[in-house]
Amino acid sequence: MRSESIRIHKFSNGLTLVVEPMTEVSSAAFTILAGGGVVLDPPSRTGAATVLHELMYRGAGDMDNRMLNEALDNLGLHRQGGASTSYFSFGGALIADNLIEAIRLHADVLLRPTLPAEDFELCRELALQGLDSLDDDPRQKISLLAQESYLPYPFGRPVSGKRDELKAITHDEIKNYWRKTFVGDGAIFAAAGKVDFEQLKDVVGELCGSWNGDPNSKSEQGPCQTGMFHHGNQGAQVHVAVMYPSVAHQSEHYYAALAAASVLSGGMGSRLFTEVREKRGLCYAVGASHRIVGPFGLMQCYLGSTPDNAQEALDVTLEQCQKLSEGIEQDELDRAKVGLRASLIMQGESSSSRASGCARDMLFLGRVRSLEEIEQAIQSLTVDDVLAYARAYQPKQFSIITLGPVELSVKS
Amino acid sequence: MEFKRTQLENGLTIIAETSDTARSMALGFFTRTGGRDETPEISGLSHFLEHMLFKGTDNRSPFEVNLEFDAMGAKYNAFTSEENTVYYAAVLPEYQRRVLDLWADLMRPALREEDFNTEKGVICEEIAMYQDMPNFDVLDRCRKLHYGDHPCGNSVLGTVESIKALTCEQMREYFNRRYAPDNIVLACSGKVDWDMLVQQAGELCGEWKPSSPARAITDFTGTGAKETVVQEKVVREHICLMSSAPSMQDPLRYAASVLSNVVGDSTNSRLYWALVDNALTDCAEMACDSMDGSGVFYTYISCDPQQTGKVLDITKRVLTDVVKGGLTDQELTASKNKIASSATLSGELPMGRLVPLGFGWVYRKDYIPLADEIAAIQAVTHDDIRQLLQAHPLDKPTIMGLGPCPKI
Repeated sequence: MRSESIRIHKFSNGLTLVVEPMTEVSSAAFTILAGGGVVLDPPSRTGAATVLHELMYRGAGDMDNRMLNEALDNLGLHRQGGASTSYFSFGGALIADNLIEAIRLHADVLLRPTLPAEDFELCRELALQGLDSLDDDPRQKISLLAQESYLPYPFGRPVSGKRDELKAITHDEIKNYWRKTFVGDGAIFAAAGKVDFEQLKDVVGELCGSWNGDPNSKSEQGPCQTGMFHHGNQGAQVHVAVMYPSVAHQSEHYYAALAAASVLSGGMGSRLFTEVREKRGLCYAVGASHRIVGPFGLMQCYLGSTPDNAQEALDVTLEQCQKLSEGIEQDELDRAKVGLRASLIMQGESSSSRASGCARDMLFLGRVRSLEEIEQAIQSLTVDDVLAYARAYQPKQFSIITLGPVELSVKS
Repeated sequence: MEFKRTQLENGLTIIAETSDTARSMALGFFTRTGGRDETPEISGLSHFLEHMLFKGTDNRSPFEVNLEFDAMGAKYNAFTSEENTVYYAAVLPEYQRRVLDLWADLMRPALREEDFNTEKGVICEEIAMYQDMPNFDVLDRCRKLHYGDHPCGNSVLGTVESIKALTCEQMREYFNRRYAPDNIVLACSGKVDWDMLVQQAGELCGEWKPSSPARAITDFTGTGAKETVVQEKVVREHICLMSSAPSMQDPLRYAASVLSNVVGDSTNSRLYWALVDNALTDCAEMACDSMDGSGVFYTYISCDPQQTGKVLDITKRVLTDVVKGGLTDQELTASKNKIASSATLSGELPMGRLVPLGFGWVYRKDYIPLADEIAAIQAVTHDDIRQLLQAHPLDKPTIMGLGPCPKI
């Protein structure tokens, strides 16, 4: 909770450095957000981002695949990252003494990946196998199906890719994709933990000063889709995702939306868990979360239930989502606030959480919120604030995606 | 960091690793009971009982329990394994008293018939959920195959049939036997007020009745059996290999974590280079699960069913090569760095320290500070690895395949 310690520097090439030193930890974590994510995958090449991210770690600078990976592992780096909808993420956490070396290696990964042809084929094959594995992991798959059904192109494009499109990607396309979208302008480098701002400014400046190129363009926004989308399989449960609109970061309702999600699904005393699982025993897993994908804010519910219980579980879930605007008790809001506050303070103990939090704030807001700022915004919320949000964003139509042995319906 | 310990007269052990600089605290009741302590008639009972502890006491209704946890902003839950049932919460330090008040009350549950029947439905949903997760299912089945009749092969979840047949009376009897203070450790980490903790635990838990619960500890090297479960609806072939490993009491467990890291970490391990780098499989990982007087190395692989034979041949070759040739200097050093780094990262969070702290006492009645754990890892030598591989050779594993492949 020490906002004064967050320091930011923008380099002349448009790369932004954010550093949050933390006392009492011996670790350091860093997060680099760059590129454009799946939204910028070439047309009819959905999944190119996933292939490229994997390929970038298969040799960089004068290191081949094995040398690079051994060098990263020797540092004890816990890698975090991957391709997502609107950015690529790189980085990880490690003992602070090894941070600078890990950054040096990542400068090669970002600016000088070798992108070898033979490994391109292997990375694509891994992506195709990943698609098969998704069929054996319905909870993961339903989330991707939901995003694709609900969000307009290109924001709904599945990170995991599409089979035919993955097969069509060529090595030259991947190399061009990297060249075009991996630019310093707009990229974010964030570090937190036992770190020194001045040292990082020098090191990142030296390593990434030459990272040039034109900034990536923004994708156009179309409307979201509503309706029922069913995907059949022979599983034991019906997996259900429910999506409806909410707000994004910049909205005045942003914190009220977080509190509303918490009233619906914050802890085991929240409405969905109480009504669907505790009172009726219809599910093991049920919940809702507030998500932001690209420029879209959305509320996403998930439930998994056996065919005999699934329809009732869905009915109760939808009813609870609708009823939020009818009234919220002061106690419910108090519980939501204290839950959000505790999460915030616990995130403040983790270098990884802080590095990724700083990076995402910088990317989406153009500034970094201190933990105090977030805490104050949450503390000042009133029942009226949350109700105003719930009324403005009361779900009129849902997008409901089901994966399982039976189809469900919505009561009119 | 400072370690503190005391014991109530009824046998409840209380331990804490306190830190003045932490901003949160974590607390857990570690109950030494799980699937291995069940008979076939009560299969799944430990896990079902874990659910029932959230259903309230004579003082609190189920809904009040959830609301009270939420009112503290607690990050709380419980988990049941083959041999432990752990109830935990992480809270801001100002809620220490309140969260202990709540958990201590829940540890003497009402076990009401009506809640018992509603919760059966939830447990059956949970069993169905795992049926849709072959990556989980194959591990569960392989453990059973590996341990045969040994109690460590008992299913934690049970089956829909075993759950439906359970009675509330059976649960009460099991509870009285297993949830005795001399079978429970109360562990805390982070910013803990120790004096308040001990005094309050004495008031709340001092009347619990001891029962001298027993557990037969026998090791078992494994059946080495091979089995294929054919499921046409599954797309990938899910393979699990299991072989014996050091127990939680065995000093060789440090060498075991180094070995499993070199052989099967998700990045840069022998299995990674042999199977994932060349895209033969999209996942091939090994880990070590050390338990009470027993342990297993387990490897999980997911591959195209057509490639199953080839993948298994390569996996066996990787394991045989390790048994014959040991590790390289480079592998030994890199894996120690990786393990030390993860221990440091999780050790920075009170919640990350709670589980090693609690289990240290449950299994060995000892406390090992994080720095000593890291030093023990750094001290692992090639000789230790050789000794480990002699005692626990990797090359004759139990093998389970689950997927469309007719025979592995």
